[in-house]
Amino acid sequence: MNPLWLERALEFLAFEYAFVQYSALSAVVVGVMCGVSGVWMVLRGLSLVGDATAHATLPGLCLAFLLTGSSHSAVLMGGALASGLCAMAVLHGLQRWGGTRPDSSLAVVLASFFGLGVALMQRVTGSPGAARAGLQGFLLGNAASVTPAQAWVLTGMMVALIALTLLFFRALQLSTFDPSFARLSGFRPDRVRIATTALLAIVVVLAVRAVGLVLVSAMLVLPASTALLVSRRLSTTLLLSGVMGGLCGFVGAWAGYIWQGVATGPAMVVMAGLIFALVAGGRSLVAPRQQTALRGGL
Amino acid sequence: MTDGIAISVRGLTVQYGPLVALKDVDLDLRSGRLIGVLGPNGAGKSSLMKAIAGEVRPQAGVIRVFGETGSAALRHMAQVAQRSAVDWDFPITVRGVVEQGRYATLGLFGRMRAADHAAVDTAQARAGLTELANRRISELSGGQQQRTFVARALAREARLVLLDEPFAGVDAASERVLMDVLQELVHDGVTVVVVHHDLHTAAHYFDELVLVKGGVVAQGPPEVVLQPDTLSRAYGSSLFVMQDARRSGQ
Repeated sequence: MNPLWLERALEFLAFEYAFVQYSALSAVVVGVMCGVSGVWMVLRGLSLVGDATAHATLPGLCLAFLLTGSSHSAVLMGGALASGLCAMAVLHGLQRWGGTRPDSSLAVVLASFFGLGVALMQRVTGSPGAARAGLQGFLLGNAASVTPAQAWVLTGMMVALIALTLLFFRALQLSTFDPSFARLSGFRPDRVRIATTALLAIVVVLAVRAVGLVLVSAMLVLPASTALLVSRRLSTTLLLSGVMGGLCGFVGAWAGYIWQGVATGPAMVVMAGLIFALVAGGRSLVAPRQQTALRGGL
Repeated sequence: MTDGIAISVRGLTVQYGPLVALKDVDLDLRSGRLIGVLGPNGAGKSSLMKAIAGEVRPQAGVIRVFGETGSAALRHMAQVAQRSAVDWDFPITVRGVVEQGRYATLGLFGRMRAADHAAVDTAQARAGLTELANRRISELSGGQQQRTFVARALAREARLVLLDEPFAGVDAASERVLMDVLQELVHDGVTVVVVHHDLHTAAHYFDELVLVKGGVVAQGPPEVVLQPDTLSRAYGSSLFVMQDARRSGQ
């Protein structure tokens, strides 16, 4: 007789149940999205902006539920996106006109939006229908609660994100690397910056249900940072980061199935952290010159 | 070529809030020359370069590059950023940076063709980077990094190349290699404008100098500009610097 965990692990891999398929699909898709967009975010120095935005989705989620009484996914996501964008706007304003240091303004925005969110959350848990809304699931992420429709919407979004990245690769690369030269070459780096920031907000909101708003930024930063350690081309970085994100998503959903009570988000992040530690540790064991050789065609 | 003038500046004023960087500047720079822009810190050298590259919006004035203004003017130029302004950890190889020089003609979606690859090869070879083509830029020395950006300007086939303090943090040997590349560019008819801070080397490096302090203090061949009385109008009375400069200028 196999131990219970092994039985469940194999059960998951059989993909017999529809909910298993959809939770695995959505976790993988979210992982890939985070991996790909995380590269742009890290290269643009927006890691902490992603974190602040993710935390800032909480008041929007709660308000959307309190005001409409609806736990429909589109309503909640709309609220999350609105407050995430609002936080980005406040952040931009603080840094531009407020005279606040960049790191402090990030802390101010994260703390005040998240604080408001937690306060509202306490209102929500006391209201009828709160359990059904599953707002708690947004904190730490729960891929198992994803409906088939949501999983397909996420997949569509991932395809769109990858298509946009491929299509506008040149503009994205040059505007991120050297905005001045991009402008001299006839590109519009200011528009690219706005578009990537908006896209970042959308990815954060889409990822919140599976990964949880506390940990979304980890999934944006870890695969990208790992890929950046080993690749010397942007295309390779994007590919590796996306693959690693997807792999972590799969492992996260798997772990959540094997051990009931383990949330998908934290499991994904633990996996990503392990891979990062292995790669960073392994890399530090070889001399810089050998690193160049090891990178080979990457 | 509009009567041999690469850059024509008229009534240029650049202001950051209450701080006036440049006031009412008129300047003509002839094409096909290696031009050094000198001046003390905060004199407005970088502001002048940024205004030419369309990076800051001037409060007043017109800048023409080969007779054109606005985005038509930008098409003619390539810029080598200050080393401190570049993210050297960006995952890109030397060849990747040089290929960016072709993006202006390729646009968003155009494919790199044989001619583009050839232009990249030539640019890399001229900057002495062929061996380093597949290195990630973080693995280069300061001089190699600068040459990579000059090679990108070469691949761009720009008629005007702007460099802001290209020798900062670069050792003497690399500085000479970089100067050779720039001189070759000028030999091919390209106009090269360099923001420079070392008065000692300025005399040897440039065909023409522009001395800036809130405006153009002096302009002309090095032997004219590097005179003590001229220099003191920009630098104040730091005498020994001027005398050193004059000595090395002679």
